[in-house]
Amino acid sequence: MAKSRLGGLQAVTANDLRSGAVVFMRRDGSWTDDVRLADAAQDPVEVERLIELARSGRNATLVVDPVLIEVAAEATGVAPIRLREKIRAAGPTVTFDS
Amino acid sequence: MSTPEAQPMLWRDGRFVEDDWRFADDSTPLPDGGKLAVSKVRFLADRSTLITRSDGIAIALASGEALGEIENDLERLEMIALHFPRYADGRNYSTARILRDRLRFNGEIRARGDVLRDQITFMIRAGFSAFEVSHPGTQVALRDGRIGSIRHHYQPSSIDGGFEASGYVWRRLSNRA
Amino acid sequence: MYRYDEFDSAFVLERVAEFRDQVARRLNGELTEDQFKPLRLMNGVYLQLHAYMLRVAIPYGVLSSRQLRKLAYIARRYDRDYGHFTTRQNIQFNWIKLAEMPDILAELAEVEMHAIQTSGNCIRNVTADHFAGAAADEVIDPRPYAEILRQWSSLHPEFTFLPRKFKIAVTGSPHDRAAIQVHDIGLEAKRDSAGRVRFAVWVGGGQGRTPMIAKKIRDDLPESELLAYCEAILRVYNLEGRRDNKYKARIKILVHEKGLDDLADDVELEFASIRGKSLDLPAAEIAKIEAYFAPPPFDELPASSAIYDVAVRTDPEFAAFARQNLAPHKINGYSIVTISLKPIGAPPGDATSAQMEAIADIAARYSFDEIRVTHEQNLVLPHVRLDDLPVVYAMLASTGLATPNAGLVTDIIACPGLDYCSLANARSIPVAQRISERFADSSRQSDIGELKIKISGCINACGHHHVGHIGILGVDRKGEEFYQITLGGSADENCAIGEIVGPGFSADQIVDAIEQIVATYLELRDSPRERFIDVYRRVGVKPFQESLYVNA
Ligand code: SF4
Repeated sequence: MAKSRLGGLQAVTANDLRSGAVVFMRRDGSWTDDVRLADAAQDPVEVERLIELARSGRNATLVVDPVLIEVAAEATGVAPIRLREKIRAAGPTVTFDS
Repeated sequence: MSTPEAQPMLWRDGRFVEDDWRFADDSTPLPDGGKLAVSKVRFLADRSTLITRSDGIAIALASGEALGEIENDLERLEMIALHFPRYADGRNYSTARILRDRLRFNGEIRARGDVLRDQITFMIRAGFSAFEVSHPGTQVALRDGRIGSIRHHYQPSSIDGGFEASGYVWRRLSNRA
Repeated sequence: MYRYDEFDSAFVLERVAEFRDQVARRLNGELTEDQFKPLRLMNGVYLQLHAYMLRVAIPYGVLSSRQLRKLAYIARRYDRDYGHFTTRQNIQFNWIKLAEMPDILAELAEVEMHAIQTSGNCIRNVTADHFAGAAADEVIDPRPYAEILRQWSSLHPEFTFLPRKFKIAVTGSPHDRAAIQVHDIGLEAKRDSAGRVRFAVWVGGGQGRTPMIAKKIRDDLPESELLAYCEAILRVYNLEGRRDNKYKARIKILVHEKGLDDLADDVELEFASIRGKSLDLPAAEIAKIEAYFAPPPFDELPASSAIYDVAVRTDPEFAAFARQNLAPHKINGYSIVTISLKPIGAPPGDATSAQMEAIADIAARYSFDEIRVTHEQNLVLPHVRLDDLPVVYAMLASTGLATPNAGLVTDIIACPGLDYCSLANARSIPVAQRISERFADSSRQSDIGELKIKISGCINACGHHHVGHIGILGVDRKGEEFYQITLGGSADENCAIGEIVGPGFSADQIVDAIEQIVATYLELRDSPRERFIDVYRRVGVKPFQESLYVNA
């Protein structure tokens, strides 16, 4: 199961169903596009609660593919650790303008 | 993956009908009467008794199971059931077309397993004529006539009859799906 | 070019309506994501890292000005004002909202376009030589056959749930610009001694995890039997292709495991029951399709142009462009212009709405309204008069579209990689940008000569790295981006899969490594006429390895 396979501090991310935008979950089950405002947990029971909440009924028509990602707690808030998740949170590292 | 399952219902000739076939497994003794469908293995094992039955026999094939050993018995069969373990496993579309086009099988070709509304038009065009449907949304859509919104087809298929579309020889138009 | 008739329009509108219904069912919860995903994929809608991506089919890479303007409009109205041309001659929009997809498909239908079969385990958008109908070396125009294949493969009832995706490419020239030997089916149209059209049929080529070069299964297929024979191949593949492992599911693995001869026997058996029936192509039907691809009303012109010659003599920048980005046309007084979408330091294959509109205008005025998309992620104006080239060049230059680097070291193919793609292991675009900047100097580029660098962000090989003269594959090594280099690949008629040169390089090292390989080539070549790929074929991988890992 998703449960604490990752070990450290974790948060839930997904894509918004209608727009596809990257979103992160808060403790109350609401979604934000700002990773810093995501709620993270380390305690396996709390982590499990977060992902269960993300997969629960009403989210099926709000978001797609909720998953847990490893995060760090920084002064500014939650921050992703892996490059892939950093890019998801911040957008492509290249921009197109000519 | 797991589509919620309802009681399977049989769709044939544009409506849900009572299933008149029994599917026997490979080990229990064969019932005395009634229309009976068996696996290819069982058919080949019990062929001599099966072909003497008067109530109709059918063979149920797994996905991609070869037709080789039963080709010569096709005219004894009233029905062939082809199984879709997952809707994305498309081997039995080809099997149905071979049955219709090359082997000239005229009996019922039935789709079983993961039969969903968005694939039924393809199945009909590949030669299927009956559908065992367990998916609730598909049952409703069939009942409400909300299947198959595409009538223009770019290739001949196994149920063409006379529907040749204007334009090019390879095109076809269905009356309704 | 091909124009929709009522049948085509009705078909596409039915499809738009169907997808509108499917999207509505997903948004209202009737469809779960598991049920919806395959349906959206069949309309080219992916969920990528940041957003939904829509891949629009550009059949065999042929566009009219009106279509290109519509793509520009979609980019501006529904996306972030740019689009990305892909190695499949398609265009991708990276920032589309699901709720707006049905409207976009309706917009596309207005200009005879759609997104059908740009994804999924079906027969994908058929590709062809991007110089079709224009190239001086062309024997037969492949577009009519590509169009017939496009129609036949559209929502084919039997082949929509294949073991894996299936790609067909067609060329009509002995010099293969369509990379037919790395396709599931590659077709070369040619003439037999009696002048009749015959196809050489190649099967089982592909890239990805297990790259393979296709094998020739028929050399003499009559044109009337094209669809019947393809249907026979597809049927055998559908029944026998592996479904237990998605990395072994392409037809190349079936060819490899079964052997070409056994496969050919099975195909012939099916073919025998299909041929001569409803899939047979009567000559009159082929002719009807061919009429759509009749040559535009070319002027009768002399083979040379004084205006062009003067411009070459007096304008060194134009001369550089002419040397690199023009190809010989079959008609006297005309030329084929490659518009590089690889300005120095920019993401390969991207074009802004304004650029697309500028190109549409130029094509309308100077290229009989036609534009082509190449699998090398560039655009082409197929029919420009030599007399008009200086003006066309100036117009291109004014929107940043006159980079004179077609076929050179900075004309890099790169897939979207980890900046966009949810399957990626590493970024591709920034590597391409840095290589491009390193080799920015145009006299240095032309001194190096033809050199094809191709970059993929994972083993799926959308960036065609296996067939790059220099291929770069991004891998994930313990959370860090690493890049593996292959050398000696080639996608043309001398098709070859590149050889891995040695251990990979970090993101910091990769550009230096490429520069080292180029330096080694320059030392080894006999003369500037000996291209990188020629040297590689002469000396092999060894000298490159030695210079690359000298301090290792
Ligand atoms: S090669 Fe990999 S990373 Fe690049 S686009 Fe294809 S799947 Fe994505």
